[in-house]
Amino acid sequence: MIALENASRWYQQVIGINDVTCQIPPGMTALLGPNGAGKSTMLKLITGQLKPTKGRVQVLGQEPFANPKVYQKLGYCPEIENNYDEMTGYEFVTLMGAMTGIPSATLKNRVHEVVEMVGMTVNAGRKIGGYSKGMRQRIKVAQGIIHDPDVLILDEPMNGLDPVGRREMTKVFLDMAAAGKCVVVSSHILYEVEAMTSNILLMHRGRLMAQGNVYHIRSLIDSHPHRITITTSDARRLAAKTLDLPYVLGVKFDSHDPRKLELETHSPHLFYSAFPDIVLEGGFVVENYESPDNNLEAVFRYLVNG
Amino acid sequence: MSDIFLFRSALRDLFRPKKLITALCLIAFPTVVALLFRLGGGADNFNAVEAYNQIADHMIFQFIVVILALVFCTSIITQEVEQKTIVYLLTRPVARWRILLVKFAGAFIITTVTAWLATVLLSVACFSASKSYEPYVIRLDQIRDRREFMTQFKQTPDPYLLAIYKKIPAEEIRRRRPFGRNRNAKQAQEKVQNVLETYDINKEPTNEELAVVVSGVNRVLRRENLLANREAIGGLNERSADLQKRVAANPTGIERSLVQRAYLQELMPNALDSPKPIVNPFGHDILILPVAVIAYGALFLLLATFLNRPLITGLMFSFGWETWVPTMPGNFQKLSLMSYVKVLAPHQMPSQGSGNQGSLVADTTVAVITNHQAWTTLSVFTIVALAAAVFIFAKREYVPRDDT
Repeated sequence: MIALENASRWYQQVIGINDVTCQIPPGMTALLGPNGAGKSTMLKLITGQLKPTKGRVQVLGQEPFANPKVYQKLGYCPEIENNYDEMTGYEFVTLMGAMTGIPSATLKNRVHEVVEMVGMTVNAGRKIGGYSKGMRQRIKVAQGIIHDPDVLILDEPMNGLDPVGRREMTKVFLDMAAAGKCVVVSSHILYEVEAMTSNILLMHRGRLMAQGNVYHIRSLIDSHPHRITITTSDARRLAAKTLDLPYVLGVKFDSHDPRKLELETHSPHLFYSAFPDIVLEGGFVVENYESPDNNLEAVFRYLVNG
Repeated sequence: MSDIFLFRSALRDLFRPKKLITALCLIAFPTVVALLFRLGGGADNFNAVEAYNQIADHMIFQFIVVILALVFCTSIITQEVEQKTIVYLLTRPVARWRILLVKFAGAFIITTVTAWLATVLLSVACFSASKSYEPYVIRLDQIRDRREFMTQFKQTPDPYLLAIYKKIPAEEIRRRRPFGRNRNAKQAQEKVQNVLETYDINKEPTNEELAVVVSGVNRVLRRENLLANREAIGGLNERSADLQKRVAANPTGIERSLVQRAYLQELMPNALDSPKPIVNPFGHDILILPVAVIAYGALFLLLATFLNRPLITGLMFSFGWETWVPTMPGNFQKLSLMSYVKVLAPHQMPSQGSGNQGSLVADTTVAVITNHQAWTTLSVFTIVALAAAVFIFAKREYVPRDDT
């Protein structure tokens, strides 16, 4: 439904995205990358706010720039927080709905419907100027889905949402995807989108690093050593136990804190599934365990260097 | 459907408190100035038409219309870009030209209504006070025979204008200094004397010669109480009964000036016509204001489509170029929108009655721009500017560039 063909876009000297070729099918796709990776630029190309400097961008078979035919079937939730602060949520969504050509007879009902879908029925009568970040996100989603678009582009839609909000919005997006729409969600946080879809586009420094199934990307990540830090009362004995596991590559102790150990593995999944048994069998008291690598920036460092 | 909503939101946007207060201040501004004129000059000296003309021309047409069109029409784009909400408009299935024109229509209406309100208030402030719309000076269109007019003045034995009243002794005139007492007055007086001395009565006077004498006469008419020394005025009993009655009533203020002018007119019936009544320009102004607004609005909208800071450029253009160029003689003034607007909405300036010979000369010269040309130029300009604005708006990217 969305196709990019060697699309590049730069702002004078700064490259936004560089030679990106990809196809985005119906269903949910996550656009993943650290800040500044070019996610927003790519979404702005898809939503026709920018023209590609080189290459082509097509949405539903047409070039999107300033193309009303595309916008008829495209919903967009920008990453900006700014809005028409002096309007109420209802007024804003109504204006956006009217501009997509929803007839006045059905407009009011439709506005109420989407406002309810995003859980804003209580607050939609208030002025947007007084909204919290989460409410702004929700009302932005409402204007994006008001015309039931075939393509829904969401730029960092989880920003500012609390866990309940994330779950609710995720459900809205998944429902759209299940109905056969093409939903694209951008994010710089892996676990946020992992819950939503297994179909991922990975961007870094303007380039498309990988496209496809999240497991594929996982395995890309897994082929590089993954560090896990564990804090326990008996670090040395736990270290001995974990070293028995074939996929643990090595263990290091923290020189300052004797209760801390750091181990490296190339299969964190296997380790995490085996870890509870080891703890139970050995009777360890584990205060904390975390993976400093489990953020996207670290993963990208691996991918870029590796 | 979508147009109505868009139009409504455009109107609402212009009714934000900040803009509303600015607009209200601008609306009240000319009226306040007019009231100050009234209070400052005293009721007798206030000439409603003159005050209205001057204030409408300088403050409404040259200032309020321009500044409002600038602020409202550029904000159509710049405000949406600044608050980044333009993305919501541009990712909707409404053609960009439509968005622009609908919002422009909103800005046009608001600007026009604001300018109208300012004009209505101003006219109320001016005309509620006036006793007479008639100006009390000699107007150029009153001079039936230019040569006769000049000859009459040249042939009076005393070089002073007051000598038209023949019997006032020369020493008395010198003492009273009818032109006024400052240096400027002395210069004006000498100039009138020179012109009258060198004027050849067998020739048509030049515009400048005529302007010098008319402005001199008007200076005297405004300043002097020639009726004070009634015995000295020659031939009063030869004048019409009506005039005699008016002189006997010891008039003051405007009426005094009017009587003096009437007197002058009876003295030289072949040279001067009765003044043609001045048409109150208010009604005409109301009709022309939207024309001025749309022309300036289109220009500023065009600036906003391709400049990041159209306000600064617009201000420099409006209060530099547009105030300076229309005062230039000859074809050069054709390069300013204001020149054309002024042709459509002419305002008689009190310069005709004062000693300002320069503007009198400008008034006597043949108009560089005809009414027809003004209409054509302004319409063509508006259409071209709007078309260009629409074209650029449809092609250009409007993405706030703080993120990559």
